Amino acid sequence: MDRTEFTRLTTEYLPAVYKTALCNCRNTQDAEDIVQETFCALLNSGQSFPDDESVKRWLLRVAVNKSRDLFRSAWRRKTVSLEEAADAADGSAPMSSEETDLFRALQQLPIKDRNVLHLFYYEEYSTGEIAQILQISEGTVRTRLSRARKKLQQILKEA
Amino acid sequence: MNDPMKQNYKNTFDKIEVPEQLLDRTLAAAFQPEHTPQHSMPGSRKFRPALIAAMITVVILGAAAVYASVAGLWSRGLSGTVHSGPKSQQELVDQGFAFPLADKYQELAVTCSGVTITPNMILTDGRIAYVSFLVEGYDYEIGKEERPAFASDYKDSSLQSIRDGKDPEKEISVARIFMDGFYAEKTTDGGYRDVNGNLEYIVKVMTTEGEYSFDNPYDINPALSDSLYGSVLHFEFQDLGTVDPEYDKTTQDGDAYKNVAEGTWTFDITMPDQEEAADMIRTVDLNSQIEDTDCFMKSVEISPISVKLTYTVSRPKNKRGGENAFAFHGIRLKDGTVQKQTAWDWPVLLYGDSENERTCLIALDHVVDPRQAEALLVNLYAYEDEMEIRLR
Repeated sequence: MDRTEFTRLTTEYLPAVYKTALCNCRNTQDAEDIVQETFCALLNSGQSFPDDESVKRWLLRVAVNKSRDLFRSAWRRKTVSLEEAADAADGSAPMSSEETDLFRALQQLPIKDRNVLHLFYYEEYSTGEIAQILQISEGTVRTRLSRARKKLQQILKEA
Repeated sequence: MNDPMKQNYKNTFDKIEVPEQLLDRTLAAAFQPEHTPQHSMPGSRKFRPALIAAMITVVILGAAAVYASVAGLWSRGLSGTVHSGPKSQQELVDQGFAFPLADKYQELAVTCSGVTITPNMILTDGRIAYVSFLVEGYDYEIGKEERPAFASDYKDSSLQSIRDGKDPEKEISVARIFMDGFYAEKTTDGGYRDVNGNLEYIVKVMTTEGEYSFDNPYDINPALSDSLYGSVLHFEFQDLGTVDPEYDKTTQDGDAYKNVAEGTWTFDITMPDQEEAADMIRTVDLNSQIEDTDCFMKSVEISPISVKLTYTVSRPKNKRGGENAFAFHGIRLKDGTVQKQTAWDWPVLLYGDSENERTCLIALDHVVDPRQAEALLVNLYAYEDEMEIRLR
């Protein structure tokens, strides 16, 4: 992959990768690290992809995996919460109370459920596509998705 | 589907802006020397994909040859569906769960447009049945992107699989697939050719009445119907062709399908009536409340290929459906090993006779000896942690 092509793909898909990473992390620094690691992995992978959509799916999978690795790491930063970080994010539009509640509720979900929910709700992938991206069974996707939705509703109801 | 939570979710994440410097930092990090692609040194040895493929093929063919000499009965697709080895395969035949149809082979074969389809084997415990069909004479090139499919699967997903005549009250739930024998994590519907060049098609039947769908959470949960034993299952496969998987992902409306062999292959297959197999199904009365939940476990029935959980919850039946079953993760055996469930399908929730009773039907993707099962590993819906249901 040449420099121009890599720059184009990074520019195109960095927001999606960042938001997916952010969904997994509890702070923006970790999310930014994951973004960098993910795109470096793309450059070093030597893989060829049939189309841009395949690149995007590959990037999202790598971002999720790197988030998981980070989460397992003893060195994971435990400083600023995502919620606080999101509130403080420079230039971000202010969130309504409803959106802030959702953000808080999201943090209470297990990470694996968050990933599925994010890919389904935000990236608008089907359960079959999410299964391919995360390399898990479609049944597992459906289970996690149903559980996440229900749990999110429950938390928001109680909020 | 109008989902306000989805809209709220999108709004929330739309408002998150990417830090301004992140793109520059990412590009800089990627183009640092240590991150540039590493090239092989001249003269260094490389693994060649074709060589690796050839090696894998030899291993697979070698394994298949040993396999055939030991078991001699089971197809690769069906073996892969339940992860069974020669020993368990022989036991399932001996115990009355698996029924090779080799002796009826010619009698059951149907040929249209040069394609002969023959029921090859039945694997059933009365609740779930897998019927394996061999497909001969279909010119499908392994390795191409396209995969084989019946038009009847594509254009009419309700397909004509009917139980005991055409009584709509006796419908069954059916899943069908061209199985390659490598389960779940790998391709599941690419098809493969056996040593004779045949494809394999597997129909999975479950004893449920009513419709359900995992795509729509508001569908009605069905009820458990009578045992499949002794039932006549009617199968119709119409027109055989190919599907472009990439196209399939976006359209799902039948346009991805190209017809190759026209015809209707029809089968009426009587499910065996096996009392001896029923004796092998282990029933455990639990009668215990799951801590901190409204779930009272009544009983578990385990066969080598399925688990049936019966329990009650405090909430009445939801007439709109959408209630979730347990998430099933596997079985811990008495020797401490865990057979993890990796199948793509999840447990089916069925309503019982009373308002509060539920039944959960799980098709195991690893054959198990029911006597050796120590605990079920599950998630109870809406409760996060994986838990064990011990079978005392």
